[in-house]
Amino acid sequence: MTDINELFARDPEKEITDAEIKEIIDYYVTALQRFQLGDKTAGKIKKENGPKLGKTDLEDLLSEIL
Amino acid sequence: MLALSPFIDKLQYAWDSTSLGWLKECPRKYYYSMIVGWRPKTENVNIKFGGWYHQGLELYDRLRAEGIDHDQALINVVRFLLKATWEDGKPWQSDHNTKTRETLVRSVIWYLDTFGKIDPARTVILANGRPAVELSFQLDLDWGPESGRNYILCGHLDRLVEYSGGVYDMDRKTTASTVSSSYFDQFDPDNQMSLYAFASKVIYKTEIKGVIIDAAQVAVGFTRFSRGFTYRTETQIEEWLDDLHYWFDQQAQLAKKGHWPMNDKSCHKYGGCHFRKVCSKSPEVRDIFLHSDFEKHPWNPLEAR
Repeated sequence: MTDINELFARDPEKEITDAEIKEIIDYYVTALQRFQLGDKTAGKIKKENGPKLGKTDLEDLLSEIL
Repeated sequence: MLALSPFIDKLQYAWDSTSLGWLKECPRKYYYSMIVGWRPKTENVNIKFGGWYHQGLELYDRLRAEGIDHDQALINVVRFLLKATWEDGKPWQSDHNTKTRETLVRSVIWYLDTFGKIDPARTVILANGRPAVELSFQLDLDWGPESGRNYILCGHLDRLVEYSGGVYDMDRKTTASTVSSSYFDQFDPDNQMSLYAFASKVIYKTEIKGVIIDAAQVAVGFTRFSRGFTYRTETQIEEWLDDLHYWFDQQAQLAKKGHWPMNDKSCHKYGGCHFRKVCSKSPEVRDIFLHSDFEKHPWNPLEAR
């Protein structure tokens, strides 16, 4: 199954098929079932975070800026 | 096609529930909103979100009335929403915490999963074979602001349905508040619902039992739906129509004088008027605040959707 964030990021004019739209629908229908069981965060999409920076990465970045 | 102006000079002859509601709440609010056309910059998100929500559900109703099955109609609706919210080559970026592209798609899917397949409220099919959804109306009253011109009542009905042996107008609303029974109390009495009940009766020449309100509470993690009802008797509608004489005369007098007083008992109702921050300032600096927090988008009741 394709990642939901990735489906939302696609150009709907040319990059998304009916089958992929069905994936979005199924994702939310499953979320609705979880909500009906009491999960009040069920309909929230978790956004993909970028890679976490380690201490060394931050030091490298700072040294480039300073 | 450009709609006609709803004014003759500053005298308004074409009214919808929004402009009438502003006048009833506060003449100053009416002046800022209707005569000048100020809208809060933040209102844009709510208008866009509400518009797409209605259009998505309207499309679904039309497709279903044409005989397309639920699954395919839902796919078409989601595709429509994804396209509508694709702006300048990228997804619509909302600055609202609950009204976003994703919560819009979720709200429509959840609504249709709840009410789409097994809704006991069924769309009325008009005599011309078309489904009774998103109907714009303009009704001539039998009196007017000047000879030869009558007042006009305008609006948009979301959907006319058959429900439990009667015909109802259905109105869909989105809100950030919790939808409890007290939420529905605000619609009885209510300007918009009285107008819709009257318009439905006139247009369809049939006994309309009342208005069904399908409310959607849109939160970050969920959308919750509740269905409420509001009823109007024939005499209640007559009373509402009769009171229009007072309100329209009031507008004419205020326009003639060019004086739009504040109703300072209304400022704090319904979470607070969005002009409260302007009206609370000294008159000589109000324009600065209007120009910084508002933009001009004239409201025209004669504009068809």
